[in-house]
This record gives sequence, C-alpha cells and structure tokens, in this order.
Amino acid sequence: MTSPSSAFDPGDYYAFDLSRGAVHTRHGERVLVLSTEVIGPLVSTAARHGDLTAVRALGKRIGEDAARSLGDDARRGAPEAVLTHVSGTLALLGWGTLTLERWGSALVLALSGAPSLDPDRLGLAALLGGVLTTLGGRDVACVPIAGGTRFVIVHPSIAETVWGWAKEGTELGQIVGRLAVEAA
Amino acid sequence: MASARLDKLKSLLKRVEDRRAKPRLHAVAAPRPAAAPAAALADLEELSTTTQRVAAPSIAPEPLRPAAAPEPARPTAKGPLDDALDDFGTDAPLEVRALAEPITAPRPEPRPLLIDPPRELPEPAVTYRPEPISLPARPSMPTPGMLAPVVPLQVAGASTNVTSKDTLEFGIPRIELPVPKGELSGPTQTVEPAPLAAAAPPARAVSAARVEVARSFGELLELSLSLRPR
Repeated sequence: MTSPSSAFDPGDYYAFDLSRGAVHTRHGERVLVLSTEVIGPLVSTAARHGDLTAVRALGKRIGEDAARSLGDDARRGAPEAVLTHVSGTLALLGWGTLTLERWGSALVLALSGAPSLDPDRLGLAALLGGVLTTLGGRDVACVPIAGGTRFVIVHPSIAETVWGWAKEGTELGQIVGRLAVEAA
Repeated sequence: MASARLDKLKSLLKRVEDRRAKPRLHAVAAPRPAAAPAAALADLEELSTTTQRVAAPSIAPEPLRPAAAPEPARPTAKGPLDDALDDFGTDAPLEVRALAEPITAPRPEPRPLLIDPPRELPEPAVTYRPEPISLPARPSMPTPGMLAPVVPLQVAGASTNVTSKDTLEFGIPRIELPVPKGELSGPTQTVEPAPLAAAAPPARAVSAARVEVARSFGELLELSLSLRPR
C-alpha cells in the first residue's frame, strides 16, 4: 500500500473566464454551474426511464478528478487518503461530503448534504458508482439504503437483489448479514 | 381727377402685392357684368398709357367684347396682377376662392426613414458591451479553512466533531486511527448495525476492537465486491 498525497488542495480548482463566459476545472474540463432545481428533474426523469448512464458518466469524471488529485493509483492508496480526495472533489462540485464505512466485509458510502435529485436516490447511487468504477478500475454498483444517506458497494450482478431488499425496508445491518464473501 | 387715378393705382398695386404675398390663394374676379361701364375701360386705357413705369408689363387692357356676349369665366391660370386689373374700375368685390387642393403648409419632400436597416450590415448599428471585469490576481477559490465543514467524522470508528481549527485540507483531517492504520473498522458508534441473523458475522467484524491487517482501498473494494447473497 502506497502513501500518496493525503492532502487535498481545493485551490485553483475552478478557472472563471468571465470574458468568454466559461468555467473550467484545473484539469481543463469545462463545467457548468447549474441549479439543483434544474438537475433534479432531469435526474428524476432519467431514473424513471431506467437510464442513468449520463449521471454515471459524470461520476466517472469526478473519479478521474479525484484520482488526479490523489496522484497515484487509488487501488493501492490508503482508504483514508482516497476518501479525502474523493470527498474533496465531490464537495467542490456541490455533491455533499463523503464518508466511508466498513460493515464487516462490506464497504458503505455515506453521502451527507447531497442535493435531493430523485426520491429513491438512484441518481446519487449512479454518481457514486461511477466514481468508484473509475477509482477501482472495474464496474462497481452502489445501492441506496432506504431511509438514510448510505450506499452499499456491491458487484453489479447483485445490485438488483440488494436493491430489492432495500426497497422492502431491510436495514443495512440485515442486508450485510445476508451477504457473504463468495468462495474463490 | 389725376389724384383720384393715382389713388386707384396705388390701391391696385397694394392689392397686387397682397395677392403675391398669398401664393396659395387665387383671386378670381366675379364674372364681369354684361354691360361693363365704358368709362371704366376708357379710364383703364388712359391709365395704361400714363402709368407704364409702375405696372408696365401686365397692364394690358382686355379687348372690348360685345356687350351681349358675357365673358366666360377667366381661367385661373392668370396671374394675380391680371386679375386685379380686370377688377380695376369695377365695383365687383373680389371673391377669394380656395383652390381645390387643401390649403396647407407646404409639406417637405418625404425622406426615407432609416428604420429598417439594410439586410446585410457589416457590423451592428449599436453594440452594447459590458463593462470590463477586473479579476483578482488569484481567482476566487476559498481557502481550505473557509470550506471546512463542521461535521462528525465517521472514519475509523470514532466520531469527532471537526472544525476549521483542527481541520487539515478541506475539512477532512488526517486520520489517526485508533486501530492499526488503514483499518476502517466500521461505522460510528452511534450507528451500530442492527442485530444480524444468527449466522451472520458482520456484527463482530465491525467491532473497533478487532485488529486486522491494514488493507489498501483496492483490497477493501474487492472484498466488498466479492459479496454475494448467501
């Protein structure tokens, strides 16, 4: 496990080119500053249609930003260092603050202060799934747990199953209890 | 007699001048009576010979016409002086008749109004530009301290209220783990998982007292992704 930079520098993240009316990140990516009242209905509509590809793609871009900020392969980094950069990047973009919890073998993300986009928080789940997909180098699914701010990180193949449990009102501890490490 | 004629001549000239001063009005004499007084015509002849220096160009007496043949209405194209001379020596009042066209002040020639611009303009007629914006030397990102949220930290099994004072870099402090470094031992103490099913080990696994080998983020992620329903 390497020790990449644990300090997250938010300085100069945005470059406001007022003469051209453009905002870029420090990585050169042009971004828009939008109201959550605009994004919310769009994400909600996408969730109803079952296609959150765009939100997941946004999460991947955020993951790329966090990885650049981290300066090393996230998979080899310390969990707290990775979390620092991911949470900082998300916060800079207005997505709230992130914490990482470990429930047994399961990793759980808790995103507090995030804007409400759709009732089931599937938009946020897709966003976080995109972030972790980039950082982890493989497809990752985040399933929202009803009644809270948590998202359990699972393999995409079982995401529907876990989502079914969550919709039934199953609490996080019970959901984790229903899971076991797959035998090699 | 000569004085009376001179007075008449002066009056005539004054009327002529008055008519010239009103170009839009046309003085038309009333139809001449059938029996024009011959004396008046004689006076006119005499006047024309004695006062040529005053009104020489147009004081030409009209030829006498038979008394029985009434003179048709004079064409209005005659000059005002001719009309006045026609009235000279008669008692018929001048009739001021308006022209067919309304008497209005002369209108200037209409000029094209440049309201509709040409279809092709090399540049806009009026360009509004914003005032220049002076940017600060360093644009506008708040310092880490300004962004530091006051939220409980939920990493490594300890819940700590983090303020900007003790926050390092964007509100996420360097983490001093109470367990071996790198170990994320579970959620906060205030959010204990509910009792699990009988055979479920996670409740023990999330205990902060349990010491595990430090794992990288990738290892923890792989572990979570390897979970399957029992």
